Amino acid sequence: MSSSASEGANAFAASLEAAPPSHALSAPVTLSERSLVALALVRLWFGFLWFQQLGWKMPPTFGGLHTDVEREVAHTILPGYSRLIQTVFLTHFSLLGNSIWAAELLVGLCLIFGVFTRLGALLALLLSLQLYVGIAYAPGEWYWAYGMLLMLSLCLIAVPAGRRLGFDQVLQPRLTQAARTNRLARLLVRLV
Amino acid sequence: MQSIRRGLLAGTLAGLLLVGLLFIDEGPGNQFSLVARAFALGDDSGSKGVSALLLIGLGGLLGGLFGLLLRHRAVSHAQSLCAGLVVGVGWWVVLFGLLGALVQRLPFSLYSLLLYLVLSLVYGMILGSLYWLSPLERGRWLPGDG
Repeated sequence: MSSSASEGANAFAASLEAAPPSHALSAPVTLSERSLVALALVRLWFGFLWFQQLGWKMPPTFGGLHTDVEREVAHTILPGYSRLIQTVFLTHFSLLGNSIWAAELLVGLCLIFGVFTRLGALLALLLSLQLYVGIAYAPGEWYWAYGMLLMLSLCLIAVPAGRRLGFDQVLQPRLTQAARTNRLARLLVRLV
Repeated sequence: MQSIRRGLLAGTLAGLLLVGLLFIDEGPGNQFSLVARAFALGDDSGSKGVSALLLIGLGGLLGGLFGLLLRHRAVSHAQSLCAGLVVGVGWWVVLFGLLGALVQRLPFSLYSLLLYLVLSLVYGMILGSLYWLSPLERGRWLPGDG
């Protein structure tokens, strides 16, 4: 081993000794009020994005949704998905339209009002995944836009973004208290 | 006086957020034309700017009234949020229901009605939340790791 390599190894060993114990590395991170409010604003705007998309697919006709689903048939990147859309979704289009509209409304309301934010973000993740697989690579689409939808949804599942400027801040302590005795509350507290 | 100041600040910030959200929808700023018409202003870009300023001003004014009404009460966060939502519903009824639909006879689509209802409730939620969170009285801006 050369002297410089040996010095490097010694420095690395010294840095390991100086490092805090492993339990300190996994200690919880406390977010400042400023960061929590910034996260809440991200949540609000992301929720508004979903809410705004209801405007062009209003029931009972669902506007341009049919054309959009047809584009997914032609440009999906998942083998077999186009057949599934044709045989299941397009043949029961009214049911699909209502389900998508209701799901996007739920995502929008959960994220805008910060109520069961993680549930809203989880639903947003599933919808974004469907969009990525179905339409992200269609002509004229910027596939990173759908990638960003996915990543933003994932971020809002990871962090408690509804705990400021939202109803989760009020719900969370109550649900945590109820979770000691109630199984449903134990499930619900994971969604705030 | 301090609670009025807190309400004024919370209301102005909530109004500002409302303007930010409306600016994006049908953007840039085209949703303001409906607001401008509800205020009996014209439909040009100048009127849109004026209606944005009116929303911020009205937000601050309602926030001040909110603080005035709650000045002698120790409100919990839940109560503050609920009171804010009531203000939001009132905002929607007066601005879009009375001024927009009844007086100006504006043709609201179902989406527009939903949009303005949600945005009015957002105003109320932010007002109630910021009023309660206000650092002026509670000193809750605790430091964190990030």
